Amino acid sequence: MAKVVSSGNENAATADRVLARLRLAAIVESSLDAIVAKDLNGIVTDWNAAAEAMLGYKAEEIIGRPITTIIPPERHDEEATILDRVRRGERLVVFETIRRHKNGRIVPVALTISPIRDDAGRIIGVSKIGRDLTEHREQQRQLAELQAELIHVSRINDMAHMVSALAHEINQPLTAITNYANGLRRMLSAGRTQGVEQALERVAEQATRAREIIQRLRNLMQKGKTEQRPEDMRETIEEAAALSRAAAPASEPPALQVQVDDDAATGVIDRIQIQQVLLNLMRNAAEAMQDVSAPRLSVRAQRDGDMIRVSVVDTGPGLPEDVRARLFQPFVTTKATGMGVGLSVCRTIIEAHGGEIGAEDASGGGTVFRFTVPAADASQHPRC
Amino acid sequence: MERARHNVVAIIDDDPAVLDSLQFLLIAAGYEVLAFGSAEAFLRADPPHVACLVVDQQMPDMTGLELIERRQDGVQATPALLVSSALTRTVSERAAALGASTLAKPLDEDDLLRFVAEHAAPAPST
Repeated sequence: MAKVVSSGNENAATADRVLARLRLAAIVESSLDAIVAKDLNGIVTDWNAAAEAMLGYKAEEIIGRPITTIIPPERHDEEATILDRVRRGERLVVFETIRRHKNGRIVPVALTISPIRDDAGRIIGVSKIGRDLTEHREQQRQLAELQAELIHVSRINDMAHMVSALAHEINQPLTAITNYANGLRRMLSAGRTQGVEQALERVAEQATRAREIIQRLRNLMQKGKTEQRPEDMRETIEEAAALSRAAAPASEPPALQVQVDDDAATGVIDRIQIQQVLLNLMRNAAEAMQDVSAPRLSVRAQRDGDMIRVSVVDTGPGLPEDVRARLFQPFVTTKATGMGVGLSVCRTIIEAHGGEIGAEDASGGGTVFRFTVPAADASQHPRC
Repeated sequence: MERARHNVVAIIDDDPAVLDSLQFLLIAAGYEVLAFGSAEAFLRADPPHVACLVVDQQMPDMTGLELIERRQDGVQATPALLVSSALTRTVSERAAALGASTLAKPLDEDDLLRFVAEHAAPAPST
């Protein structure tokens, strides 16, 4: 009898297990995330409805086939690594990769992978929970597009503020060219040739001067796709400085000093966007120093760990405390004509570079704006 | 011979290329020219026998208008042509009030030389 009782208990336990398994199966089947299991040889053993929706294969089509069916060939190595790690009992949480739909479409997915153990605790397979990132990626892409658009519009707005100053700057070489040409015509019609060659050389120099100003402007107006790549920091800073000087609001442009340390020579940046930040900071500085005698502006690039720290220091009156706290919010301005979006766009740009931007009092009075961008030779942090 | 003493054209512009080219043109047109890189340099030199001035408006420290105004204080005002690449109505009106002419950059050769010819005679050709 004891045996029967015992057997009855066993039956109850078995029934519990069966119920639990059914409940689990129902949960798995109704999950919005794809849930897939495979054995240690990489053969698919379970496949829920969400997996079918995400990857196009029906359970009966894929169960018994290798998991590599849904893994693009260039990611097959990745699968071997995952299996190794799971065999060691490791649990990999949220692993972003790509899978291939039955129709060939590449699906970006976030995977959570864990080992499946038998009753004795031995690892007999792997379960994967996958979330389709297509929509998430699309949202990210749209957000990045909007952000790029905002940055570009703001840059055009910056340019608009500079237009009359830049027109003057381009008019100067044109004036010189006109004068030389008229003088040359008079000389030649009088049969005089002395000094002609030198004057022609000056004409060419002035044409180059005008072209360079226009080229710099055109570069900034350009929409282009945003691209962060190794760039010479000194050139980047000096080009921006030349434009900002051309467009200085004061009759007396501030004396400018640029210092770039050797270990801060190359940054991984979107050159035009960083010049946009520099132009904004330099213009703000020039405006802050409008009533200051002997205004000085210095731009310095220094190494700071894996980053390059760029400081723009002015000798103006400094920032009021309340303004400084809200400085990088949109629509905060101390200027009658400003929209107040300049610095918030600067922050957007710097954060897209993985850097930070801030302002503080300069040691000798005035304000220092600092921002960081990645150095080209920063140590790599591989991501899993 | 009496007029020959007043044949020098003084030009004042802070942009070295514009200054050099203007000097080149006026010399090619037969004038004797004194060139200055700033209003201060001109005032310091205070050259005698200047027939007329060609002055740039946008200069640091002292603008063209300020220089012309300063010269008005003298017993005899020197005829002046104010040049600028951004001639606003305000600037033109102030110049007119001071008895000065105005001309936009880049300079129209005929307008420039007409002004100069009104006040200076070409140097004897060499």
